[in-house]
Amino acid sequence: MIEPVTSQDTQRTDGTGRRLRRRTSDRVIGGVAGGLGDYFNVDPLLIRIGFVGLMLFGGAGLVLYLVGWLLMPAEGQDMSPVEALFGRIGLTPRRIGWIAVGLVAVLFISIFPMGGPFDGSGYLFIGPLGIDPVAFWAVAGIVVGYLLIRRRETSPATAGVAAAAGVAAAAGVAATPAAVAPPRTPPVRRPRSPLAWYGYASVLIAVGVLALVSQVAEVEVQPGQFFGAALTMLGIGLVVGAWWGRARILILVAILLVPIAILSGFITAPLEGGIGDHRYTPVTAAEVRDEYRSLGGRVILDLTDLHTSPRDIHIAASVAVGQLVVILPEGASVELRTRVGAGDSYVLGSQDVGTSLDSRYVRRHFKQRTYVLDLEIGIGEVFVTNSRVNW
Amino acid sequence: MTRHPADLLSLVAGLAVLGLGLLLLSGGVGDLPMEWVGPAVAIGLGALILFAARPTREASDQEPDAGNEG
Repeated sequence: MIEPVTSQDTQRTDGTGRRLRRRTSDRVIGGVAGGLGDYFNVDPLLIRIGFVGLMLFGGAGLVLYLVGWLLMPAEGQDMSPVEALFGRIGLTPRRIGWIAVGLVAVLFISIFPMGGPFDGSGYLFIGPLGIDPVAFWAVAGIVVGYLLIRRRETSPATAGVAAAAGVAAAAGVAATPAAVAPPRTPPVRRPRSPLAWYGYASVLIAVGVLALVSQVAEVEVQPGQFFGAALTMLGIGLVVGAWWGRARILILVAILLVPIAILSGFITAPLEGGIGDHRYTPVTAAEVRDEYRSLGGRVILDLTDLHTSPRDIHIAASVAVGQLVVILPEGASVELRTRVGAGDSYVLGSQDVGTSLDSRYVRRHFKQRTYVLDLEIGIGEVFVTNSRVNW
Repeated sequence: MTRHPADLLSLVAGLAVLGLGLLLLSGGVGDLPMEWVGPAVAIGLGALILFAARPTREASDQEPDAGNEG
């Protein structure tokens, strides 16, 4: 018996094109990137990279991925999760389209009195033309809604054939041979390669060995070096995968790691202390510590209330990631060194921005106590000021 | 694992990642001229994507079918 034609098969044969579907096999998470890759005939890895890249912009990649998962039917299915849900509550695509047009039109009308699209800040400017982003998306929504309705209304052949096939199937009658699509061949999937798992394992082992060596040999290993070991293992895995096995997913992992790895390469400050915001306001010389350390956050060291002391004050302070603020008495005698892995340095009115900053500042007054400060920031900002304002 | 024809995307990406990893391991990332690193990385990634997105021989063979599908 010849199987009745389905709407999916009809679309494949009537020239309306391939359907965008989520992969159900050979996928990493939900099959969205794989499905998009199949549809556009590009390597799904590139789509995944795109999603990951967009993840860095406020999590847009995650939102788009979820939207894709909700709107794309899975392989072997005709309806997406959203379509199935709407079908269950009786909302047809046409109704949904009109509702979308209505909602977006209301939105558009409601925002327009707030100002024309050519004035005010926060507008998208393309050359001399300013476009309100909200208005832009509103118009885009209307157009998409209209196209959705139009698409559904102008495909009677598809609907007709599908309906006829449905009737034929219900009646147990075979559809005409002319309407029968050729049998679909399942996509050929490559066997999965264990190389990527070898890559992950080697990353963990390399990082673990490096940590052990640093403990046993008492060698200080910087965070960037741990990431370096991880990237080295991933690179080796990829080079091996160029000829043996397949491990392109490691490219994605590496792209995720690279920004963090590069940033961590600038963290040369000691990884000591806790995380959080701390404010120290010593009043007597005995309360002044030799060292103030923090892993992350803001450390404010206010020395303006410190009573006079005959001896110099030596302080070493560091924050691995964050802000380090030192407030000195007005006109104090100072001798300081500031090091910044990546970020800003504001020292008594002078500003420096960049990477691997190392500066010294000396202002000595004879017969006056001197503050000898060694300040270090991995990534962030160091401020040395005479004013409590803003702190 | 079986041997397959050379996958240049994996090779180029692997060498780039390997190089960066070794640089970080040596602790030399702080000496990089950062004003050149950003553009270089962008150009490299762009070239890699262009290379990866080029039509493969398999895809070219299937092109007539894809055209018929609309």
